[in-house]
Amino acid sequence: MGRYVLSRLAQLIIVFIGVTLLIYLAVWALPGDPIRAMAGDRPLSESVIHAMRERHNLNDPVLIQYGKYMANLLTGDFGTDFNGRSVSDQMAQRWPVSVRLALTAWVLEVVVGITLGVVAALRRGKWADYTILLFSIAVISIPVFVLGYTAQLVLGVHLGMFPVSGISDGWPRSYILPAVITATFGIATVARLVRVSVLENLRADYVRAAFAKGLSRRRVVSVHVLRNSLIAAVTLLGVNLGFLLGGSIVIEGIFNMPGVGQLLFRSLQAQEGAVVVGVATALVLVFLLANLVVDLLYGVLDPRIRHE
Amino acid sequence: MTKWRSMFAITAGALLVVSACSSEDEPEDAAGSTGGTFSVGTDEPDHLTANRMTGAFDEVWALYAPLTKFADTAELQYVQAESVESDDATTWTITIKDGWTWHNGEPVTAQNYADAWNATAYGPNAWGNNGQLSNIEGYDELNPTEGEPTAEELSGVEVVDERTLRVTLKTADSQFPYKLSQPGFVALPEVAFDDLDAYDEAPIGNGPFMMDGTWEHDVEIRMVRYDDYQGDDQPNADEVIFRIYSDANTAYTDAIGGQVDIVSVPQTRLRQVEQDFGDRFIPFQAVRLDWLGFPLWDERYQDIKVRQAISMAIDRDEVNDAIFAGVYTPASSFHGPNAIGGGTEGLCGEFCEFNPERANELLDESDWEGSTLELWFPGGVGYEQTFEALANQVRQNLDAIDEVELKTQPGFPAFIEALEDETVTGMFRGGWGSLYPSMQNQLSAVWASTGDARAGAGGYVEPEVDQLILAANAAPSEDEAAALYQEAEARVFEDFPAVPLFYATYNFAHSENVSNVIIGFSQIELTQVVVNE
Repeated sequence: MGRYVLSRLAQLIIVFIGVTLLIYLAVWALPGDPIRAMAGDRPLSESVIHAMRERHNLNDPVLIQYGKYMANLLTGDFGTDFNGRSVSDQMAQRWPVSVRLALTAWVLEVVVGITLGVVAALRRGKWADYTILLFSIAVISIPVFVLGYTAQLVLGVHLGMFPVSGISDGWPRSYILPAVITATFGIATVARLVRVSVLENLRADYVRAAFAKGLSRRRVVSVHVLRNSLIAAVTLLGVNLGFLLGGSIVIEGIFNMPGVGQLLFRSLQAQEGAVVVGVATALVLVFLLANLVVDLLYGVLDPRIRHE
Repeated sequence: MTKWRSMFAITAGALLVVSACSSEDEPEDAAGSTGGTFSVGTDEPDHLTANRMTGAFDEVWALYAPLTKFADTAELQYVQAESVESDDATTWTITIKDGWTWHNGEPVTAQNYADAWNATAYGPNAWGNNGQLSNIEGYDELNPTEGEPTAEELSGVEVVDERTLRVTLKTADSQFPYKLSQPGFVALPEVAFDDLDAYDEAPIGNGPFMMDGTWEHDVEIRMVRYDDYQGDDQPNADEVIFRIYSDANTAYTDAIGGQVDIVSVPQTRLRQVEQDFGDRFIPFQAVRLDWLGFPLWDERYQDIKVRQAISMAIDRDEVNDAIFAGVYTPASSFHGPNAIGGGTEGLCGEFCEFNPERANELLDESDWEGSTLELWFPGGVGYEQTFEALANQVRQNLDAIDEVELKTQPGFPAFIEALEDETVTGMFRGGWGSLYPSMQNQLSAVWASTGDARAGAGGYVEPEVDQLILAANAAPSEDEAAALYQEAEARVFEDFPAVPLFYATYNFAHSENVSNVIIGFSQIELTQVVVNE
């Protein structure tokens, strides 16, 4: 187990170097000079463009730029964007927003998704099952930005139940609506998945044996069936957590939440290499770590799965 | 009750104005103030120091007082400057008003101006508004094309006394007092130079509002009225909050819900803005032009008739109605009526009028070959619909053209690089918003052979135009200057290097919480905004 974790962590380092180089090259390969376009139609003067390019090492060949970037990174310096703002400050400011949004949405996925799945399975063929089915089909088929804008307009602007945008009301008020919208797709998927697994497991031999032993239905379902039904859901939820932490560009945009998704999008548009590489690398690491945790959880849920 | 209170406020305000007039030494601070807090939707500024920023005009004009300014007319107002005078348009004497103070209480001096201009003009500082000072004597020494600067101060800026500056220009410029309204020409307090980056987070200015705390990045910037502000435009409100949005559409939705009071209207919302805001939608026709340029280095576009034919094949009214909900004005020259001297409307003549028959005749007479045209523009910044509409116009109305291929570039940097490298192979998007409403700005930046935005003119060079602009710059009176600029523009139209499309507008909308929202050349007139009770 310990060795397994160590070897996975070693892999992380290789992935880290590969990913930073790849992203750096990709940003560098974008056409056009980002400095020249900084002021839109109004050009900056030549001397200013020159000074800015020098300051951000843009006059060096790409591998030298990358080398300088990595050297700074080893001393904990993520560099600055073109306006001179420190990238680590920006990430420090934005990560809490994305993490809060992601965790709120993720907890909703876990609690609501699993509950709905179990209820649908136990009430198979009854109205509850059909209602949950209808709900999941509906939210899976509606694009998330439509849901977002509609919810914002109806619940925010017209009914005034939630703040329309921004995070000035803090957690939870400012986060609930965007988190619900972010979570809907996950809730629906988790519910479908859990429903099928629970139904499968209810027919399994060990369940029949447990009932034969005279265990109560509640105990059979909550201890035996549920635990075995969660393996598929855990995989999905693990990947989803990594995904959610990456920040939803769409949701963060609609609800004007200053998270990392927004930062990444804006920096890509402005070709801010240092910011893109910093944020994207952090995202890759988060994703990989979330996957590692999922793999370890398998062993806990099903002792037959072992990591040697 | 509310009515009574507001009536009282008006009477009190009137009384205070009267008393302020009768005794000069009375403090002016409470005059006209109606109090209250309002908010403005904005995107994240690049900087808050006026001389450094390229995209935070509303914030900067709240914090700083310019020497001169334009509100919503082409009439120059003196704010911090008492007078700006010259006998030869080359050596200028600027006197600043007495009694002005920075937000930290220190007096505003001529030295503050000299220091700020030297810092702005110093190339290695890489401040965005550096280029605005390029005509001051000594600028080249601070901005060499190769190597390090040989000086740290502009030789053309001399501090005569506490309140007087003498500025020597490289070439005569009758428009210099107008240029002083640009953000590159504001002063900075001594304390700014202790740590310019720290200063940028909470600038101490000399304007009507001062920072309340520091810039909270990506969230908000709070400002309160500066009670010792000496300008005539005393702010009505006590407090203004700039709320930072990453998406202008979200700001717009927030304004409908009354969560933010004044927002800029994204182009995609122009068709619904009347319905959403009614008379609380305020478009202002600044001196801003949209045009289609041509790659004049490409021999297919050498024939003037080709360019004129394309111009006459575009129904500007139809595009204006379909895309901009009729808010823009179809252009018939480079300068709309709001420019100093009344602009040049109609100068383009029949070639800017929609006339498909004549357009087809012209194209047939020309040496144009082929049935495909290309249209280049930057993608991802909201121009797609506009350029699809323009492409359709050309394709439908010119019989010889079967296809107009949209060459969408992946963003602004790529588009600008293609223009500067002259790799553009078809018509392209051109746009210019003048920072001060003199025709000089656009003419010398875009259509002169030395202009720094001349890429948008597609490589247009005409020595006669250059000479007319120089003559206008040196003209002894404003009328003569305006006449010469008009002549320069007329000379450009003889060559017809580009197709004028629209005089564009600044578009703002406001919630019911505020009134008296005036939009002008420096965007929102923040001091005028009244917070409703």
